[in-house]
Amino acid sequence: MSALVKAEILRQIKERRLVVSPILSDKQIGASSIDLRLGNVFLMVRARGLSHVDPMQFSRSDDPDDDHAWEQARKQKHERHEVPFEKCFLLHPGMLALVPSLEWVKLPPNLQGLVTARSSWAREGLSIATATLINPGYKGVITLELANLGQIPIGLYPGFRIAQIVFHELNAAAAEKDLTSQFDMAFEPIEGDIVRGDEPFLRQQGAES
Amino acid sequence: MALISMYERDNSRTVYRILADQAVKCFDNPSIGAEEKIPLANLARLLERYRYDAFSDHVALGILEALSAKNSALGADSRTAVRHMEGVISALEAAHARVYGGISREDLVRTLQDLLARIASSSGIDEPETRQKLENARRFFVAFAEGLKSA
Amino acid sequence: MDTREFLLNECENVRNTLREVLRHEYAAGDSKAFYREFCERLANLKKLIEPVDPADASALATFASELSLLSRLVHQIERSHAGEFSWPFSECLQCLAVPICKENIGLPTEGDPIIRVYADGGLDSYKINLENDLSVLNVGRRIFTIVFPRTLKHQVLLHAIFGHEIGHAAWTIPSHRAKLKSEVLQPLYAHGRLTSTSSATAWLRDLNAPRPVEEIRSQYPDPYYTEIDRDQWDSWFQEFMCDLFGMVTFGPSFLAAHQTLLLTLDPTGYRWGPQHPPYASRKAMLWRASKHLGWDTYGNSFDDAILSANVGHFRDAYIGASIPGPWEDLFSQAQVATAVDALVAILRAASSEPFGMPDEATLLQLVRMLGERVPPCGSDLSGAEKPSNRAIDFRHILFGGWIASISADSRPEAKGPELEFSEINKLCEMGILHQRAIDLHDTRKKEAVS
Repeated sequence: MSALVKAEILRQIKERRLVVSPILSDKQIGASSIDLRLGNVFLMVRARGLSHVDPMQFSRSDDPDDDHAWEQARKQKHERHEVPFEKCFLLHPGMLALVPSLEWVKLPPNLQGLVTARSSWAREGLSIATATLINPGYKGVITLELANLGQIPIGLYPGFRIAQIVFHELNAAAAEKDLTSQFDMAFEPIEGDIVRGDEPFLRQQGAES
Repeated sequence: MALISMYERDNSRTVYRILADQAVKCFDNPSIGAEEKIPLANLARLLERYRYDAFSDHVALGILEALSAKNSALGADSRTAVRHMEGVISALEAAHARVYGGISREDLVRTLQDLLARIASSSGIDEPETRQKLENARRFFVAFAEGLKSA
Repeated sequence: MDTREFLLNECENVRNTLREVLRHEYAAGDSKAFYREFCERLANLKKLIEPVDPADASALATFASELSLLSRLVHQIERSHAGEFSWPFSECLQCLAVPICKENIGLPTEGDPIIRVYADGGLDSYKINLENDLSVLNVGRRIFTIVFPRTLKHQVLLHAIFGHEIGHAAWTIPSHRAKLKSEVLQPLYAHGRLTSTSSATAWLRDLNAPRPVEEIRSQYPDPYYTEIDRDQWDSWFQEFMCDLFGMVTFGPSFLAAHQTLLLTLDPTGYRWGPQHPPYASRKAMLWRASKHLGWDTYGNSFDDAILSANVGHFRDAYIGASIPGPWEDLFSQAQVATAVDALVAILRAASSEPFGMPDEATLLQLVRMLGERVPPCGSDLSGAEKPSNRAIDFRHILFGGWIASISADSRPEAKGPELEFSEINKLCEMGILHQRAIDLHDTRKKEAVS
C-alpha cells in the first residue's frame, strides 16, 4: 500500500477517478496530501442531554413506541450549529465537535484516504481526535472530530484549512460487495453508532443488571 | 406571513395626522430633525406613493398560499384587503393645491423630499433661500394635517 | 391603569422580549441592524405615547396596533435559525432580490431593507414580504422577510419559486409599480379575454371551456364563483406579472418549480380563486414568454447530443411541447413579448441581473458533476496544478439540477441507481455552498492583490 504523490493525485483528479471538490487554492495541494477545509456545521455534545454514553441507547428494539425514545436520544445528544462563512465558532477547552469538511470527497475502489490534523492547528491545541480512515468508494463530506486540548477557546472559521488527507493505493480494488452503500452520500457530519454489529454483547431488555 | 394589522378598520388618517404634526414640529424647530427620522421617512414614503399614484394595495398571499384549498374555494372568501386612502389622498391634494398650486406632483414631491432630507440630516437648513422653502413646506404639512382632521 | 399607562407598560414588555431574543443565534441577515431599527421604532413610539391625550381614542388605538406589530416582529426574529433553511440559497436570493427592493425616498438613512429569514410550515409557506402597509406609523428602514418552508429546507430546486415572490416585493416600490403598471400589466390587459372584469367573467363562463373547467363550475354552481370583481381581476394580473418576474429572474428552473408546486396543490390545473387564475392559463402565458426568450430552441445546437436531448426532455416536461389550447391562451405573442422585455429592462435598471441561459460548457459541467454524484459548482482542476475555478450563477446550478432530475441516468458517468429528487436537491444545495466558497475566496484574493 503506497501513498500517492502530488502528480498522481492530480492525474487521478483530472481523470475524475478521484474527486476533492472544491479545491480553492493551489496551496491546498501538498507533496502527497490535500488540505481539507472546515465546513459549516458543528455538532456539539450537549452536556445536559445525557448522563453518560450508554450503548443501550443506540440499540433499537422492534417496539414502535421505542422509535420516539430512540430518535429523541439521538437528536438530543448533540447541539447543531450552522455557521455561515465569515462567522466564527468558538471551540472551548475540552470540547469535542463533529464537523464536516467543506470538500466533497469521492474515492475510487482502489484508494483509501487517511485524514490527519494540520500541524499548525495542532500547535494551537486543535486536535483531530482520531485519525479518520476513509473507505474506498466513499462519497461525501468527511466527518472530523475536533477537540480543543488547549487551555483557551479556539476561534474556528468555516473555510479554514484544518486537516489533510493522504491517499493510499490498495493492493487491489475493493470488491463491489465490500463497497457498502456505495451510492449513499454523506452530506452531514455522521454521528457514530457504537453498537452496530456488537448487539449480542448488550444486556438484553428485562434482564437483571 | 403578511403583517396585517389586527385592526380591520383603516387608521391611515390617524397615522398621517400624527406624522404631519411631527413634521410641523420639525419645521418649527429644525434642530430636532435628526431625532425624528422615522416620521420624516414615513412622510417621504407617502409622498413617493403620491408621486406615482401608488395607493391601492392588496395584501398578497404567497403563491402557494393563494392556491391552498381554504383560499381557493369561493370568491366570498377573498383575502384581498385594499387599503382605502381616499381621505389621505384628498388631504394631500388639497394641501398641494393650496400651498403649491400650479406645480406638478413630481416637482412637489421632489421639493418636499429634499426638504425632509435636509431636516433629517440637519444640513443646508440655514441658507437664506432654503428658509422660504421650509416655510412653504411647513404650511403644506399644516394644511395636510388640517385636511386629515376634517376628513 | 389607563390605556396610555398600559401601552407604556407594553413598550417595556416588548423591549425586554427584544433583549431575550438576542440569546439565540441567527445566521441570515444583520441582527445588529434589526436590533437598532427595532429600538428606534420602539423609542419613537414611546415618545408619541407619553404625551398623548387620554381622550384621543384614535391615536391610542393606532399606538396599540403599532405595538402589536412590533411584538410580532420580535417573535419572528426568534424563529430565524440558520439550521432551518438553506442559508447559502438565502444569501444568493438576497443578492438577487435586495437591489430591486431598494427605496429612493431621498432620506439618507433609507435604502437597503433589513433582511430577516425564517422557516415556517410546508409547501404553502413560500413568501417574501416587504413592509409596505401605509397605515403603519413607525418604519425607519423597511424589513424584508423571506420565509422558507421548513419541510423543504434542502429542496433548492423548488426554491426557484421565490422569483414570483420577488415580483410582489418589487410592486411595493412606487417607482417600480408605475413602470410595471404601464409597461408590463397594461400590455397584458390591453387586448384579449381578460381586458375587463366582464370579459373575464365571460371567459370563466365560456361554454366551450375545457372539460375540467366545466367540472369545476358544476362543483361550484354559485354564479358568484364565476363572477370576477375588480379586486380579483387586479389580483390575477398581479399573479401573471409575478409569474413573468419569476421567469426572468430564475429562468427555466422557475417554470419547473412553478409547475411542480402548483400542480401539487391543484392537480387539475384549472381551478381558480380570488387571488389566482387557473394554472393552465399561467402556463400558456409562460410558454409564449419562453418562445420570446428563445428557450424553445435552446440546446438544439449543442455539440453534446445527450445534453441536447436532455434539455429537450426538460422543455417537453416544463415549458410545453405544443401551442396552448384556445381557452387557456389568453395573451398574444406580442403582448407577452412586450411585457417580458419591459420586465428585463426594469430589472437591469435596478441593477438586478435577469437570468441568462448558461453556455453549453457550463451546463455540461454541472450536469456531469451531478451524474457523478458530486455537488455541481465551478470547481475545476482539469488544467495544470492550479485550480481554475470559475464563477457560476447559482441559478445555473438549479437549472442543471432540474435537467439532471429529468434525465439522471442518461449520461455514461451516471453509474448506479437513478438519483432521487431529494439527492439532486442536496447535491445542488451543497454545490451552491461550494460556489459561495469559491466566489468568496477568489474575491478576497483579488482584493488582497489590489
